[in-house]
Amino acid sequence: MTARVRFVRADLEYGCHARGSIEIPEKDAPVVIAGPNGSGKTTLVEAMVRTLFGFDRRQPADREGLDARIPWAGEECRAVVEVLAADGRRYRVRREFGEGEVEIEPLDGGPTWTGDGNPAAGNQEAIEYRRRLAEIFGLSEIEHYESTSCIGQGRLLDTRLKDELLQIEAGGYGNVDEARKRIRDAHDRLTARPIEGDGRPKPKARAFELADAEIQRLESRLRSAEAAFSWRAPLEKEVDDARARVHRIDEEIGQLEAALGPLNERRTLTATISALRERQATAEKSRHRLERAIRHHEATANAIAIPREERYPADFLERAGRIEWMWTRQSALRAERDRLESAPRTADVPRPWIAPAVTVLLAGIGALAWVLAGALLPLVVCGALAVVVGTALALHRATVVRQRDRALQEKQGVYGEIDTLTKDLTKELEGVPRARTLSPATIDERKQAFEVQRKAGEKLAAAAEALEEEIRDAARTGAADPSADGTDGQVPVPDRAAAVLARCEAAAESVRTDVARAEIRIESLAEQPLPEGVEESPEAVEAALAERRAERRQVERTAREAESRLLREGTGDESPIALRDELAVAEAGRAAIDREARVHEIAFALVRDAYEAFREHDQERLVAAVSASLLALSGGAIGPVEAPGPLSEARIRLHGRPVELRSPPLSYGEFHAALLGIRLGAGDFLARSGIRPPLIVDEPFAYLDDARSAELWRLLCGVARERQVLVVTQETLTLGALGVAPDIVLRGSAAREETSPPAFTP
Amino acid sequence: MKLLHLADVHLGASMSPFGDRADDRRRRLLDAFRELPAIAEREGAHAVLVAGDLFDRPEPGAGTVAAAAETFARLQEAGRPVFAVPGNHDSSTLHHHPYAESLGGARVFLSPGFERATVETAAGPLHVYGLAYDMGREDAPLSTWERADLPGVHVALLHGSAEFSPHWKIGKNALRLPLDALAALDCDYVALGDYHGFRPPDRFGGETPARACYPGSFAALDLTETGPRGYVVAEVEAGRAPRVVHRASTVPPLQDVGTVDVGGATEHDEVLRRIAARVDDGALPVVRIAGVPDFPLDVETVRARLEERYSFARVEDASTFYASARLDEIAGGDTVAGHVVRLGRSRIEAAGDETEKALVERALRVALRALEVT
Repeated sequence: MTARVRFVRADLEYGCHARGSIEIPEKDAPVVIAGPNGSGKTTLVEAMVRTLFGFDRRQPADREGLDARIPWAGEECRAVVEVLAADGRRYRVRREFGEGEVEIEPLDGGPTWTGDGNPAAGNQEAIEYRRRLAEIFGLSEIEHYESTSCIGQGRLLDTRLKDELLQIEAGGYGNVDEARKRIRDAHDRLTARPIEGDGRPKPKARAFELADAEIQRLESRLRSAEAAFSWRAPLEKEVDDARARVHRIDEEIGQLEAALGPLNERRTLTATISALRERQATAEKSRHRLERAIRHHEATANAIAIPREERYPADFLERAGRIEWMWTRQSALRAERDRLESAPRTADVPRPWIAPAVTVLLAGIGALAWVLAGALLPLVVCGALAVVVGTALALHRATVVRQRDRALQEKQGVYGEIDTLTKDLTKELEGVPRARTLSPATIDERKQAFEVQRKAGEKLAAAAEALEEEIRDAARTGAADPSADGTDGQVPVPDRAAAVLARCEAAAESVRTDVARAEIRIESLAEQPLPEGVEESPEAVEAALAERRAERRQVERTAREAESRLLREGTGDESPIALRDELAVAEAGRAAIDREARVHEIAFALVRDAYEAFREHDQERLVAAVSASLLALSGGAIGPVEAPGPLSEARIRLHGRPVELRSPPLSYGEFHAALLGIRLGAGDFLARSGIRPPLIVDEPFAYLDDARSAELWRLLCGVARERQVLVVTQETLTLGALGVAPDIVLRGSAAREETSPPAFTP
Repeated sequence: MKLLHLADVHLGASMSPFGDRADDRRRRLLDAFRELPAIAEREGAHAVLVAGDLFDRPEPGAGTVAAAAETFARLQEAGRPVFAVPGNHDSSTLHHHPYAESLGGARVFLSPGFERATVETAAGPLHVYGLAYDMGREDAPLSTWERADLPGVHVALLHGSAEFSPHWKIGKNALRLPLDALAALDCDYVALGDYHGFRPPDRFGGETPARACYPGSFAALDLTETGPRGYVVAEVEAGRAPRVVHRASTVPPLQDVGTVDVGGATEHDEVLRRIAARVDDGALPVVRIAGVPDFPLDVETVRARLEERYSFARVEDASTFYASARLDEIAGGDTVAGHVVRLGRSRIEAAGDETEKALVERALRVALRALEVT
């Protein structure tokens, strides 16, 4: 509260002496309100003061004063005062004295406050009003005002140097409070921690706490990110190791798989060679046996070599039997033929015309006879004879014909059979050596020859059978396929045997070739490197492969798990370096806020401590201020004040001698000047503390000589530079002597404003 | 062969040090990056190399990734192949990273060991060898270098910290690039990223000069990155030392104005005049004020006024008001303010170190400002 408080305007309905409006000019000199006795000067000032502070009806003096101001006619007693407050804002304070209600209207905008303005009331409204009044005016109690800055007419005698002045002052120093509030507010914006050590931290986080929380979050994020990075290396190593192990296993599996083929092939080739060798041995054996059989067959064939034309057919005996029968039959048939040849021939058969001719002849004879004889009998006899003879001749011929036909038929049968037999015989004789000479006479010889030949054939057949068996055996053993040429049924056994033998030899050669090839292949199969500890056998390799594959699956699983953990635990979301950079910026920001907060804490402590130090010298300052006023007012005759103890025991120096304030040596004028000096000094003291309500001095020149009046006026002009000073006086002569023109002149009973400029400027 | 080499673009960076201007800063960074095709055209670049930290975070947002992909696609369409490696901020070792899908056809190296990509450019064959650092998979990635016996320009593309880089101290989280190992890379140019300052080949030091270069950040990402920021145009020929030129991006740079003496200044306007006289056009000032002004200078007022003019400013207050004549005057009065000054001065004198002294000095100003002492 550093600006001065000023009365600006008053609208009064305050008893009969103070009614109407008055503007109080703003100036850096005392505002002088002048008027004759009874013009209402004091009432005017009282109205303005009481509008703010009201009356305490519990105090008899106040109660009487209020009663005096309420017109007996029953009119309302009210007043409106406009005040320029310490904060630079204008307020209009309206008071209804009858009800004690007050209205505070901020003229610069804002809500109007209305409530109980009773100074003695203890209700919330009254307390709130006094708080607002203190903010506006600097003081909330009229006693404080009157004991320091409002010197009412006749009230000077109440002046005391007392500790209460210091108490009033202690409520002041609004500028200090404001300063501390500003620092505290600024500090509050920076941090929630108390600005003083014993204060309580604020619940809501401020810039510092927000920055601190942000830093903690960043640190946490940084820890996570760095943890991820620190975990990353071992996890990546684990993954890499697993992958490397998989790679090594894959290499070993590759080695094993590469080795397994050749090993198996070698084993297969070895088995093949064994089989081939076995097959070769079998073929050789078959070949040898076949050769032997062929030789035996050849020897046998050579031993019984018979020209082809001399070879009897194998069924010669059966044929001989049939030939002998044929010969017999042939003989019988020839005999029959001869017999039949002797039977009647065709020429022996009567001509067919003989019977009819005889008949006709006989009939003719009869007819002729009839004709000639005319006798019928000859005719009839000749006719009958003709029929009988004709029929007998016909029957005879038929019998001869039948005999002839039967003989012919039998001959044909005999001749046919003879031909057939001849053919059959020819057929039977076909292939029979010297068939022409075969006869019943030679047949036995021939049979003997055939028997010899059959036995030799049997020996050859046995040899052939043996050869055949060898061929089949060769086929069975796989040495050769007798059906390979497809002619086994038609080709003679020796030829087939020769062919089979050739094939056997070819097969044996092929087997030898295959063996050689297999042996070369085995030789060509390079030695495959094997993992350490693995035997060079397919079984061992396959076992190692199975083991490696199982291990690979296990290691793969381990690698996947490690990769999963790497992704989960070893891969951060944020870069540690970026976070570190961000943290550095945040820490710098927090440090700046902390530094600024500390600055404000130090500033707050500075103001607090300086203020306390300042307050320790309050009494000295009060005494000094009062002394200065006294010395100024008395022209150096009175003062300074000495108060080594309580203020109530203060003494003043009078012409260099310490005396009590109310001591007899003081003349009334000196006493009055001394009291005025105390009041002005106290006002000055409060003003230094920031409490600067208007200084009201009613009749200040009473009892003062011209010199002291001039000194007082000079003092008041000095005060007026710092605060508003209202001087109420009827001493027009003194004003004239001082060269001061009143600003407001009251005439008669009605308040009236005069706005002439001040006639005096200090 | 001309190569456009950039790194540490940090698209999508929060730009939080720029406070209220962060959004604007982010937008301007993206706009400047979108100008790459025009830049490559202007510079006559045959290929573009992005040496890591293209994005500020592994999940920079679909819009940002799309903008990068579109920019790269335009470069590719113009016949300028783009090669990139992930960095620390957008590492491919993270769950999600922006290189999982094709980025406008750019060739992004994601193997922990060197891989080679060969393209035919108008200036001849270009062989780019890159890797994505993953300490878990390859803790000595430089040992995987194997130069192909092919004609043309051979370029290594890496995101890592040389010995002078701040990330060198971090340890294995960052790819450490010993100068000797860099010099041992048998190639014509080593395009590096990670270090945010421009470092041409002749400033690498080491016994054997490396053909390496850091282009620095594409734009200032925090208030320490003052000076021009952008990219490098490297002229590389087989078997010859590369020649590099650093160019500024269009993102407004931070200018380190240095220390401005505000001694004797009696009002903020005077302080602002002294600072403004040293700020280049288009730059964002970073200023330190020192001296003893004759009024309780409020650094926030100075900063706010500078931001009104330059859109962004950083002000470090090293002025010392406690020794001023005005403070002597205030200290002489028997007022609360006088007590504050006297007490403040005594505490400044008693401060254990300069930091504490500066704190009390600033607290004294805050107290006086709160008491409305002018």
